[in-house]
Amino acid sequence: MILFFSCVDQIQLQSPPGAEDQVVIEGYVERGSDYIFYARTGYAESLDGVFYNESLPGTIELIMDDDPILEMVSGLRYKINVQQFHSIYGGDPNDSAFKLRVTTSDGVVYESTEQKVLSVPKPESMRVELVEKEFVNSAGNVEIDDFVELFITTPVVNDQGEKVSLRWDVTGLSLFIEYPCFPLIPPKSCYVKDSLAILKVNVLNSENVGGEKLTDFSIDFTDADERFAFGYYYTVVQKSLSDEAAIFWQQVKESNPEEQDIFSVAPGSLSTNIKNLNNPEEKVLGFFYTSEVDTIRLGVRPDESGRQRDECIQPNTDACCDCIILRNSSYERPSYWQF
Amino acid sequence: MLKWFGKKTEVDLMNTRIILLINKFWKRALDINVVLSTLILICTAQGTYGQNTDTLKLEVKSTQILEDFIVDVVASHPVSIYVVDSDLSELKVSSHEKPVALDVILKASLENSNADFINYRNYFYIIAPKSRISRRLSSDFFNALEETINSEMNQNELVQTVGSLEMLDPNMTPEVSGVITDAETGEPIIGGTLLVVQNQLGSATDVDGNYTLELPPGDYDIQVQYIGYLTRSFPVKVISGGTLNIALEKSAVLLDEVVVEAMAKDENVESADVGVSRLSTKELEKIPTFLGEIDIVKGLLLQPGVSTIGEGATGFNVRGGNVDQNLVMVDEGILFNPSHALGFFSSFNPDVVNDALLYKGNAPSKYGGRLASVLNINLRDGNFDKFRLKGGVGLVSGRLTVEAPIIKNKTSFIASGRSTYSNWLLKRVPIPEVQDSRISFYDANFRLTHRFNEKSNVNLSLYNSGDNFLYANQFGFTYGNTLGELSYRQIIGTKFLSTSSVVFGNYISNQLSETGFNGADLTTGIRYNKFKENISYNSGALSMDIGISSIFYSVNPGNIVPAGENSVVAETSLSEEDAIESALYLGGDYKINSRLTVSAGLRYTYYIFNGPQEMYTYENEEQPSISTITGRANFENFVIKSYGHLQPRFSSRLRLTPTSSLKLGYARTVQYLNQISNTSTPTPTNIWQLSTQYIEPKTAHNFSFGYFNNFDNNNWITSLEVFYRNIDRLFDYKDFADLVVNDHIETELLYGIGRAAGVELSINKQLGKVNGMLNYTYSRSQLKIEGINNYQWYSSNFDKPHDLSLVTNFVLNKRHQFSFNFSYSTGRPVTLPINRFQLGDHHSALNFSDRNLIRIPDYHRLDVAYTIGQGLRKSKKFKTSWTFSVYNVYGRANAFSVYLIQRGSASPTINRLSILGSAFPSVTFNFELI
Repeated sequence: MILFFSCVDQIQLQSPPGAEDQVVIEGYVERGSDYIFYARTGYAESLDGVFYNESLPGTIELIMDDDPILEMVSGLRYKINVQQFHSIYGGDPNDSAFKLRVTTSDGVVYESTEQKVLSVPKPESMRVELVEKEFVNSAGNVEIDDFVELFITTPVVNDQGEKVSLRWDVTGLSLFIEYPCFPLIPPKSCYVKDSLAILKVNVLNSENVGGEKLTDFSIDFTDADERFAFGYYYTVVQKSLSDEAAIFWQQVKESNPEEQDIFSVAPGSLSTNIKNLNNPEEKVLGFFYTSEVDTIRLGVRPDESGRQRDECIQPNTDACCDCIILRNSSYERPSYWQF
Repeated sequence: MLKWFGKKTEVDLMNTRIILLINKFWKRALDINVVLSTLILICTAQGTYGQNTDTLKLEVKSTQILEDFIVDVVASHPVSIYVVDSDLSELKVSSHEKPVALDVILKASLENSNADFINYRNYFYIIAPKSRISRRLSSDFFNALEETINSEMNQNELVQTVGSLEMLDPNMTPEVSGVITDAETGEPIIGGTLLVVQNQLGSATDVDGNYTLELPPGDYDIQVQYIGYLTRSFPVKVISGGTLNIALEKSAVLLDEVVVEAMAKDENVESADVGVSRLSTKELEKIPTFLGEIDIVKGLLLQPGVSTIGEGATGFNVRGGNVDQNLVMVDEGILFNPSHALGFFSSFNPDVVNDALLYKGNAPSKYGGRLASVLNINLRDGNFDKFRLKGGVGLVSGRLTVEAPIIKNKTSFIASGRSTYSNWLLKRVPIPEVQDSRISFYDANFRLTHRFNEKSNVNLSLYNSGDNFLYANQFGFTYGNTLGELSYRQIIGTKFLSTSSVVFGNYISNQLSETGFNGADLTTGIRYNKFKENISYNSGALSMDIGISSIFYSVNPGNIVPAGENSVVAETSLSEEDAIESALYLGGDYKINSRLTVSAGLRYTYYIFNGPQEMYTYENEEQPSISTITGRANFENFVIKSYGHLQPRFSSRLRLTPTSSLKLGYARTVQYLNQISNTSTPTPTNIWQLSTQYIEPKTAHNFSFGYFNNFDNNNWITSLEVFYRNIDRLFDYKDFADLVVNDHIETELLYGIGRAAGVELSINKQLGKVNGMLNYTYSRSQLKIEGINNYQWYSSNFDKPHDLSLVTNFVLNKRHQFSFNFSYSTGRPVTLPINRFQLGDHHSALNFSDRNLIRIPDYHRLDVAYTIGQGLRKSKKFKTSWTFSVYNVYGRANAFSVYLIQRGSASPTINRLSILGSAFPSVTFNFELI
């Protein structure tokens, strides 16, 4: 009865003054076969606003072992071969420490803490499992549907003997085959990149790991839908993180409204490792982190997902006749695709 | 009507002219040691006495037995004759044809016996053994004699006489004591007040209905009052110390009387208590309620200084204190969750509750263990005289109470139950989430009382409750309370009351998160055994309590098991933690003079967190953190950590005028047991956490000051109170703290200090066709914690500066009453994102405000109720009433919770969940068979 009288509606709450002027500084150094350097400065946006690429007026410097090595443009990625980089700038890939320094046009200096690039443990294997799960559909009814769960097995101790925190970026690639809409033209196949999973933050703080290895650690959970009808490839980028960075990413994850319900723990202020050297009291948003990355892939055969083709049996969508109109689709077959 | 009060024996003389009463007692008079062990009282209820100093002369027509002669004389002449320890059955009176003086007759009759007599003014004679008669009697002795005589003269004025000549002790001011009871049920009335009109002395009854007054011999007018009862005024003649039991008649059901007084006259002005709210079920009946169910906690929320986070929140907040800072007691039992059904109902069935007393910060020394308040719910005994049935049927719940004597006037029971039957209704609501939801509760009370005699009784009380809530088959919780109490009360002498109690309590809660992948079942609980011995002393001007208590706690910090086949949650179980909280206390009230009363007390508590217990060890025990863990150790000792605290309590009242007073109070309080939660709203599954070697107890200083003034003969009762509390070792939670099944929970806490201050204004109109109350509180409740908000003061979760409630009752006539209730409070503080920012190409992050920086919209609500009571005939055996009410008349969507929703990459939105977002009508039928 009480539930019958309950209701949910959207409201606007007054934000404290100055909330939208808060400075954001973020960046990272990722090391695979190449280094990727990235930094961005700007301002926080209101909750219902859109992101503008308005950067702070001033300079962004990447500093390695206390030496400025690169003046960066906000929002751009810099890619350079690891060996080449060190031959030019010196330093040791396993020992050098990076930090960001931002100097605004009015002389305010922001600086991150120094971060070493921790070696990433090599993931051993991945596997998927088909599970049934109850969920509430859009009509409010409880349904049971099939889901694909992705597990990874990996050590958490790197080749330096350090226990490191990990983050995973999960993307997928599915095959989409057209319906023979045109008699003389054979139906084409498109490879469609699935980026939904990468929007989720998958992070594990090494403090929460008892042993030296993670076995069958769940990193993705998705509908066993038509994406799996002709095979599906998971690409997982495993990244090493310092514990400090892992805490930050864990906080980002817990702040995600999709993780919340009315009994959820109230989130709090995100941590940061960037300070205003002129005014240490200023709360700066963002984080600068370093990581080494390693990539692992897993192909899911159609029979593993149990999914039958139920799309484009008839030309029921435009994409069934022209799959390239699908977002993030390509005719190019990746070299790893084996189905 | 003339009454004689012997020791525990009351004899109604009415039209009987001679009464023989055998009674054992002792008596000491000044200058003579007349010990009277057996008394034959002979008195007369008719005739004219006056100050007659003429000797009574009588004719004795024939020889007769002296005892028979005395009976005849007293029956037909204006004299009283007391015979003490003398056997007159063998003595004879010789015949006298001419009238002879009574003295002569008695002298002749007693001549050859061991007895002699005293003549007082020729109309009062005492016959006693010669060895006990002295001619050097004091003036007090004779004054008392005269008072007794005068009392017999005033028989037509319904004078009640207290004491007797034999009980007169001229060295002491007579002490009048007794019990105030419900005339219908014989139940003691707690908090009833007596006022001696002539000297404005007053007294209030304790939890057993007992009162004591010190009154010199004389004539007085006594007024006795209690809420919901007819005020009694009657003359009393005090001869010596003695017993005066008073029965009050109910003012029928409220609607039988247009005027119902909510508080005994000037009780708020007279009492030394500061920061106290007293509620009775009679008062609650006047307030419009949700689903028509009268509810103690809902009534308390209308009092100044008491607030809640909102509909659906468990518990209540007192003077800026957290929910867990309230000690909720049912008699001597402790309830760890006083709420049913998401807080919409409290755990107390109003039909078995006698009254509720809330001490806001300044509790007497016999209470302790919480910082902010003590809510003491007193249950009532079953009817000792006759069978009674009472109940109510509402839209979603019903209740039934049965009470009856087992042995009339000796043993009685009361059994009561409440239950919901709402689930069938949910099934019929065409909303899938509602159809797949469950909400239900029950509670059951049983109480057995046996009176061994008028001085001792024993009570056995049992309580059990259960709650079940499930939302759309996704998440929910169940919880239950069990209480058992055995108490024995013994009056020692006339001034001491000993109460021994043994209590068992158990609270278990269970939280079920969504089924499937993350399905988990979390169980926590707390179990305790308590012993308490309290001795009360009451001698009118001075009343004291001294006692000792021990509580043995066992806390289950949590165990979690996967729920359902698909759950990947790991099973984890934390070991039980044990502790003992013992207290020794002494406290009392002393009336220095009619203007100044002081109340002072001292409570010493000793707390032991006891082993064996396996716990983490840290480099720095003062600031435990994950990074400083050095290992895990087994603490084998019985005492792992102990704390001792001395807690002084003080309050005083200075009467400015007969209807106004100033009061101030101070109390030091300590809390060893805390509720752990960092969810945005309190839930029944919040974990109770004992103080350990790492988690120190919280301590607080509570200060109160108040001005109380009543107007228009107690019609308007007003008060203005100011309070301040500061708290040491207060803790809050780290951002993103993980508190569930965490065996190093101390690493998730941050310590600091807290403060709360406020002003409370209360205006209460008691009488008239339009009556009600207006309560307004302005208060702030803040914390300063190292590691949160840059160590600046910030608002607590329940900091609601403005809090107003207005209750108005329109008594249309004896059967019909219309009432409305308006509540307003500032929105509570919350922590919400204030902006967001990008992280790389794929992620964005929400930036939350400083802790509790944002306020949700203000809360306000209007309720109305219309009650049709039973008819005008008070004698009806079956009483019924109907209550029609609308809760939240204008459908204000007050926020229970504010949270974010984000779909994919769209902007997040702030959403308000209103548990009752629209008007909620209800009808309740109440019945009572008496």
